[in-house]
Amino acid sequence: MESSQTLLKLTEELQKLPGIGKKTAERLVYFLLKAGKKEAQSLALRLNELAEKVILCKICGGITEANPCAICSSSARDKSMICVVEQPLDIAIFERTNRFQGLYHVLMGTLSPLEGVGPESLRIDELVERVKDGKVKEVILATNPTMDGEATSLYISKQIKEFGVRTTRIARGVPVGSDLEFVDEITLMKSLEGRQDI
Amino acid sequence: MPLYNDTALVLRHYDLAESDRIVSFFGRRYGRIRVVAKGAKKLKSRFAGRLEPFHSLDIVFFGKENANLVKLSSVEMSTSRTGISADLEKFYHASYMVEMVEAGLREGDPNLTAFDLVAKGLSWLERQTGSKDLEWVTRFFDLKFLSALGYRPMLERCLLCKKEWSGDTDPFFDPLAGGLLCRRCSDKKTGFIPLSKGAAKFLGKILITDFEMAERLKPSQSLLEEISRSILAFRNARLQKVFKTERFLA
Repeated sequence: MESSQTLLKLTEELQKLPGIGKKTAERLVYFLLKAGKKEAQSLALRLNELAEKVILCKICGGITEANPCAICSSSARDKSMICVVEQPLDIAIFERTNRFQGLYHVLMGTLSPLEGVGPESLRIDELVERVKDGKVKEVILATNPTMDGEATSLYISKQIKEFGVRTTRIARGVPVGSDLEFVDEITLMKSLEGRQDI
Repeated sequence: MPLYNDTALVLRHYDLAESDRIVSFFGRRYGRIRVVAKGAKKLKSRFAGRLEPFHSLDIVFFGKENANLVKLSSVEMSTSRTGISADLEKFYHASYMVEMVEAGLREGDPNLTAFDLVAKGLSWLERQTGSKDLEWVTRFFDLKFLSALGYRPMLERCLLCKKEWSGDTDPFFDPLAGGLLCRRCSDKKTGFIPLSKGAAKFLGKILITDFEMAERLKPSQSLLEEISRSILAFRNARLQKVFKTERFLA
């Protein structure tokens, strides 16, 4: 590998990707070499398109090629509901359910005092601005049920309380298809707290 | 590979690969350790909700001796502290305690006194109400924790002349040397903090008071502000660290 600077540089770039170590990066480089010029150029083209065309929606912060994104500009979506998520990828996860018809808001992370991440590092002010205009009736807080995710939800609920919108948190409880025997105490406790009439 | 077990506090966790986590524990027996929890992010993980910060767990892990990372085998909840996540201020203060542990103790360096203190501190924090109480818990914890690390301030006698402090005069606190200076010796040094005699006595009381009794010891707001100046200066001098969590505290 040391004989070619080009290979070395590409290996270094690939190593920056999550879950890719030196050996995997080298394997990928060799694969591309063996696959031929066409494959490598096609990959390069797609990577270039990704860098040039894919942007974040100025309203929700989701991944898009048009600004605002298809969800934010759609007249079919319910503009009175905003689902708040941590990362752009979370939008795709909710969209897979085909049930939620409202809008989204991506925070780009969670509060994390230990990492020095405060509210100013997140897109919380942008959310408050969206809520202020009076059209939003409900904000669904869909941050992960981790300690940081819970803290972020608490913080946001405090920030938007004064605007009189309904603030809800996604339910936490027993996963569908699981067995109670293997559910941990905290999840079970949360499922009891969030029980519903049937 | 040998199995190890310990009672441990969850300090924090980091993502590893798609569904794994590295969990940082403060163990009673093994001190600060980092353990890989395979599949911890998966919906049906047997670790699931137990690995969130501030809970006390009984853990079993395995790995080669002196390995940098070991693997988690099983966890059982010992004490859950869900009350901390339900209150933003408590979450900030608990995060600060975790940062103190990380600043004061190296990995693999057990400290039973510090462990018991952090466990009691987090449980006490969970029970408190009002931001003044939280500030008091945290300052009480600071001094006790520094003391557990071996940085017990000298409050019985003057650091320079070694004369016993009578308690009748207002002394000074030297954060760098870690103790009191009498009025006469304070002229010979700089960088010390004036203390009322009441505040100096109060610092001494903290050192000999257990967490269970600390609620009875609760200081007035002015006294809390006065002791806080000395405790924070002492902490900064000893740990030499900028605390990321500090700006979140009320």
